Amino acid sequence: MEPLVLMLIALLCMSAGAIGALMGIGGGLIIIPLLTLGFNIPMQEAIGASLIGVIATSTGAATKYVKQGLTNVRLALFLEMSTTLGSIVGALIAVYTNQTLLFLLFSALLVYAGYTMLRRSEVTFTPEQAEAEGQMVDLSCRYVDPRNSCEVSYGVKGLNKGLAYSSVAGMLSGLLGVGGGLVKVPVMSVCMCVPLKAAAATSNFMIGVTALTGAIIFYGHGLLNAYLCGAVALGTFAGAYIGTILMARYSSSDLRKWFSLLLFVVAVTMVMKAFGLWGGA
Amino acid sequence: MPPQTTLCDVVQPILRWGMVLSLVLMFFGLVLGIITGSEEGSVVPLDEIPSQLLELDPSAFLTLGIVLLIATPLARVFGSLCVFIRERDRKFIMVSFAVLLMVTVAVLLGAA
Repeated sequence: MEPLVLMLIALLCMSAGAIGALMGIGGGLIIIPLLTLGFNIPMQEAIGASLIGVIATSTGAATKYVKQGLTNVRLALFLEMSTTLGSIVGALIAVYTNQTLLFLLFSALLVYAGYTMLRRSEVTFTPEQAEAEGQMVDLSCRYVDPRNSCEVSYGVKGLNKGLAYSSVAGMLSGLLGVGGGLVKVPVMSVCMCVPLKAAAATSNFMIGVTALTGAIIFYGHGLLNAYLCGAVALGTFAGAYIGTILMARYSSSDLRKWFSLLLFVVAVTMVMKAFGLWGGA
Repeated sequence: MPPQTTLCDVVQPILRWGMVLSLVLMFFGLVLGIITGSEEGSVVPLDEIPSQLLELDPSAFLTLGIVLLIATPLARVFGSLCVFIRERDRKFIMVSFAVLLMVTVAVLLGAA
């Protein structure tokens, strides 16, 4: 690959890293079409590079979010159990499912999630309420909002529901290769009452583990293009850093609106994908 | 509310060092590749990395960076596990083991 092309790829991947870090998604949705449609890179190489980019986004942003306390490490591990299980099941049954129908169902789900996030404002659930519920594990957490230096303490609601829904999120990402963060953030935010910034940071943190298995398999089969992966990783690292700065600039309610918008946009691209009009299916 | 500081104090340096090391290696590999005019290449298998590094093969530097990057999220699960073992937090020791088990199963199934 030409040095200039590599630099351009790194530069463009910064956007994926920034949006990923800000919204708690992986950024594969941006990286894969960018590489396949924009640079004519074969699908397999693009997926491999995108997995590396997702890990870079997750790691790059998490170094900051963990320090700020935005990442709820216990909640992340707790939900990772079901997302990883779900993604295994999803990958195993992917061969037997109708992709077109799945993409359409997925986009309907995204529209529903986006609508719910727009209509409902954030519900607070205190650590005391969580304790009163007598949950199986204590996932309460506190962070300092980098925007206004206010300390926020929150409890996590509906752990069983959260586990069930995130296994669906994992299954969808195993089936369709997308959608981990897009489903996890609304699940944490709406069903589990986690403040949006913490939900985005926690989802972003979890995505590193989700992408890890795919990346190991791709590496084992020698399917990673070293230079492409390097360029994508450097770009997404830089982008993730920008994303963490943006996170400190905006309020949770702004981010909530943007996230809904993102869900609607992705829903449209998924419908296009279902009908073969968009790269990356 | 469970204590957060110890967990963050262990997880954060793992992430930071993983990021810094892989960034430096990948950047060096890319620059070296551009200078020597070899900008094509797949990743190098694990056992060939040391010898290729000595030969200053740019792909080997890139591959080592990629491997470290992939290992970082896994290392932070191990790191959390160590904290939970030290704190004797039985529930979360099980949670961490479950995550590691799922990752292993996924890799084995994918490799098959």
